[in-house]
Amino acid sequence: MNEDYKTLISFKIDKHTFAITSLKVVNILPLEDNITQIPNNKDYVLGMLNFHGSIIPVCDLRKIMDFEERERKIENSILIISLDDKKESQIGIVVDSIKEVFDISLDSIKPSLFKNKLGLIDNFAGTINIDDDFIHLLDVNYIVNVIEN
Amino acid sequence: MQEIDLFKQKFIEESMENVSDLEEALFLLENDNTNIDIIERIFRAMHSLKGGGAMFGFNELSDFTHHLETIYDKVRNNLLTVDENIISTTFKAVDQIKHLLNIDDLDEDEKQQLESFKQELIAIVNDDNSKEENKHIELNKQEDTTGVKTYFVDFKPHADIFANGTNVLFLLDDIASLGKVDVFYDNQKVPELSDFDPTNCYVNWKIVVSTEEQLNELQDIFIFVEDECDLNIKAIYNGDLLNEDYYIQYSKELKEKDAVVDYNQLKKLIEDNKSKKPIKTDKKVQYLTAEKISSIRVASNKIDELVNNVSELVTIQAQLQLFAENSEDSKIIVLSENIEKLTRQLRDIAFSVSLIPLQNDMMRFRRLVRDLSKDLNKQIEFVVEGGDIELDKNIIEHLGDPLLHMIRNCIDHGIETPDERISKGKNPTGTIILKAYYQGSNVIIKIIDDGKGIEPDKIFERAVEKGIVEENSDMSRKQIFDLVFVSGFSMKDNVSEISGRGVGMDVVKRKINEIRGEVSIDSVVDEGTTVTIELPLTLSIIDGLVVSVGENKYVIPIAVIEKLLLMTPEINNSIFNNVATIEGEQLPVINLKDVFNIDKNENSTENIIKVKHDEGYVGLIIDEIVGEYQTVVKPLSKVLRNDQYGISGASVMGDGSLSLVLDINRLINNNLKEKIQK
Repeated sequence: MNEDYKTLISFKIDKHTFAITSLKVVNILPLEDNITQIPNNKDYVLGMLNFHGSIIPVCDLRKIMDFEERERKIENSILIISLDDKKESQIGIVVDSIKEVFDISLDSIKPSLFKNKLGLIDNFAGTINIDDDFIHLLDVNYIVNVIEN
Repeated sequence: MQEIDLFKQKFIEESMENVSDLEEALFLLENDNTNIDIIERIFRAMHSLKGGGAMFGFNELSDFTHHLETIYDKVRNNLLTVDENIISTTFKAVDQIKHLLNIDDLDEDEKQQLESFKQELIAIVNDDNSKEENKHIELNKQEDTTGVKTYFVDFKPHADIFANGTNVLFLLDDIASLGKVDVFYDNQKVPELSDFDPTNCYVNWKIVVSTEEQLNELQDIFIFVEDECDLNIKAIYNGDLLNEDYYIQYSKELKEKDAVVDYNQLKKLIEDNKSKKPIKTDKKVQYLTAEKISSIRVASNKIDELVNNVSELVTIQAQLQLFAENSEDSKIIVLSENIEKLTRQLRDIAFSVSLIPLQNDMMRFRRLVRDLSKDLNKQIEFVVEGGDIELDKNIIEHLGDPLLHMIRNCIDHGIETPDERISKGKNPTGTIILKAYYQGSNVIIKIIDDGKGIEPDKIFERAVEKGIVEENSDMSRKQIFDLVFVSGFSMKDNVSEISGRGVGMDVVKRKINEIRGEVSIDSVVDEGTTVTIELPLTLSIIDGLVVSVGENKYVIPIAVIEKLLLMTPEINNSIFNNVATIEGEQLPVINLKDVFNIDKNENSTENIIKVKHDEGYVGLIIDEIVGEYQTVVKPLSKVLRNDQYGISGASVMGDGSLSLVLDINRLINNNLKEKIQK
């Protein structure tokens, strides 16, 4: 693979499209009744999920980004992301829907258009413009960091 | 990693083991400085360090150990007596060896140090040269220096020896316990089965035994059967015949032919070989005799993997069991039951593999006590009881530092100086006991010193000064001692460079809590202090009672449960200020629905689980009791863990759903006090 390219997974939250690098995504699961709630936790923590024998937290990215709550739909998906391929650091994040997996050349990534923060997230890795559609790039390490703290 | 690096890594691991073996032997030698076995052990450890070092390019190590080995070679041959100086130097040398193993290259400074250390070693070797010469002459008169002699035992029990209840095999065992034996049995007199009388003994034995014991020790074994046998014991060889190559060869040949050794033949063989060989026997042979392989080395991550997989298997087996029970097919039920049995066995084995004895870690404590007490001019005896208790290796890894810290505290502050102790009428030598034992599914570790102790009143005063508690708070003795573990607490007037009593005790507590353990302290002034650590046997599996609270299921460790009670209207009405009156007794209760912020449903049945907590009991109000399960506890990541509410882990149930494992101690500590204070 050419080093100038990056493979991304894009997903929708509300009206916006976001993307993260596919290398950190371990799996994509549908959001079903597979989440066990945990009492007294942060409101964006939906609960825990048994993923291949290890128990991982599942967080709602909508809530983290402070969008209005809305009903669950069949398109809702859980992205299982892992920082260092370690089981302990896996986290599931719930998004409205998964859009696509695509390659992008690094030089098409422009500085982010978001100047304000979205809920807890106030750091965006860049923006890509494809066919007049803006895709906002998120840094996985940063998100996990936000969730953990 | 290159292959050679891999071997190097192995060598370092192995050497570290040798080093700790060496240290252990040194401690023994300190008390018993003429014991040849210990000296041999030390020599052997050094020898492997030297040999391995040279092989894997640790030339400095090899060279250094060579000098050390020379000292012990002389000791071994009685050319040098072990004294305080030698032992101290060897301890220092052990540190040097550790250092050499841990670093790749020495800088100039260190090289010089090493060189001067080497000179020191050489000085020791030369120091006793004069003594050596005297001894040498003496020694040459003897054939062997170790005092091992070989005897020939001709043992012919009479046919009626069984009549008085003698088990001849026990006699053979007794001989074997004296040293090394080579046993030949003569069964030519055993008759055909038709003529065989099971009350008679038909067998004779001829035993070649090499031992350090005297001839009369051997004869003593037969003291009660003298009249029931023909016995002839003769010394046959000065030295360890069983280690001589020619004898091994000879014995092997005889055994292949099912023949029996003959005294005269053997004597002749020895005479023949004596003339060929130099008088002095080469003891190196002794180290080469391979020990039976009783253990193998396995990379610890493989064991982790094994345990993980077995945990998975346990979970899946539970699913299968559930499926089988719901199906009508008897075949699958039988299969499931068999798999359950196997899984259980496999699980037990896998977990036992990951257990290691506590004492592997004890050596460094011994060392610490020795070194520190010398520095502080204190006399301290360190006693380890129950070092063979086995714990999960992950627990032991986490336990090392807290234990070290607490033992340091004992030495520094607990035990007084000899003068002080004498003036108090105590034995000038203080004692620190590290004691481990099983209690239910827990392991208790106690660190007991007989030092000056701490007064609860002083702790309380101190805590008030530090603003940790209110001056007028009413606290039990236990609560006061628990203040020691509060962050920021320290008995200031005791601070020293080694440790401050109390400083870091909060860290100790936190570290022990991390491995689901509890720590408490008790002390009596001038009698000593006892720190008690309570640990789970393994981190990953518990017997638990599954209960439901709201929509969720929770696992409560069976070990803490005292009694299950049904919530009756009567009990419910008796609850006042979070204390229920049950059968005339008062029981503080916690409603888990309150803790977990779950709406109360009037219709649900409620149960009370009476659990042990500290010295008393607490009732937990839950919805329903689901059942008792063996659960594999999975750790929760940072996001999910909630110490405040005692949510410490999770477990996968048979149907694939998840339940939360509760840390009852924390749950109660964090939620009961708060409410009572309100």
